[in-house]
Amino acid sequence: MNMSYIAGVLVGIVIVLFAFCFTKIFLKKKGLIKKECYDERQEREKGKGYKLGFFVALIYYLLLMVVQLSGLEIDNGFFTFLGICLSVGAFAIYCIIKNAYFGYNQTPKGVTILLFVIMLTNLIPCITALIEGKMLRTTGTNIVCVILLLSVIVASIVKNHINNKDSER
Amino acid sequence: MKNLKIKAARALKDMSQGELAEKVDVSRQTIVAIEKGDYNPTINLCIRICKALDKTLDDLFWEDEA
Repeated sequence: MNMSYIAGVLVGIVIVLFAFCFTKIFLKKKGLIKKECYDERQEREKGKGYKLGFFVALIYYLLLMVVQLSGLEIDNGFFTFLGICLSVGAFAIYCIIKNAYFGYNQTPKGVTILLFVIMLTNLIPCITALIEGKMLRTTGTNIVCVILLLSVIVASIVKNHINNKDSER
Repeated sequence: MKNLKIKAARALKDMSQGELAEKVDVSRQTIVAIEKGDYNPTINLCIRICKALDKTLDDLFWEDEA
């Protein structure tokens, strides 16, 4: 792994952080994002979500260890990052299903926009790499981020639609 | 076990689940879960619900003897 690749990763992280902060400030000014408050049931479900994420990570890294011990040559950085994303994804989707991802004083719209912006910042290097013909080799972690964020966005949109249909008239 | 007393008390006050949720600072889905019997609220939340519906704890949360 050469210095230019590492520099590229660091610049990418800085760009995502910038996009995140800028979008969050903008959405706060528009009133689409507030400091989230969770009620007691949501806190309990979040606790269960954290537990699920922990066990997903535990099982994944045990399996990864077995694969590495078997002598198979794999990209450590990518597969470590994949484990983190799987664990975060498990937590997020569990909380969305249990209506504990968004605070009771929040609307999903603002947070979904924020996630969408972060997804786009990860999608751009994928598209650039695709055009240059070096897709998976350089953008594996970006692809994983895009899939994770897309899953969370789709799950929250679907759950929001179900909640609206179920609400009392 | 379903809590139909809360639903009845809400209907008396012409209050939706969302309105009750807003009054007691919880999500609408928490009120849904309480009425369905999927979640047992803490005593603090029970008290807040009773105050919002002008009922006592016995009125809303005491189990009727079979």
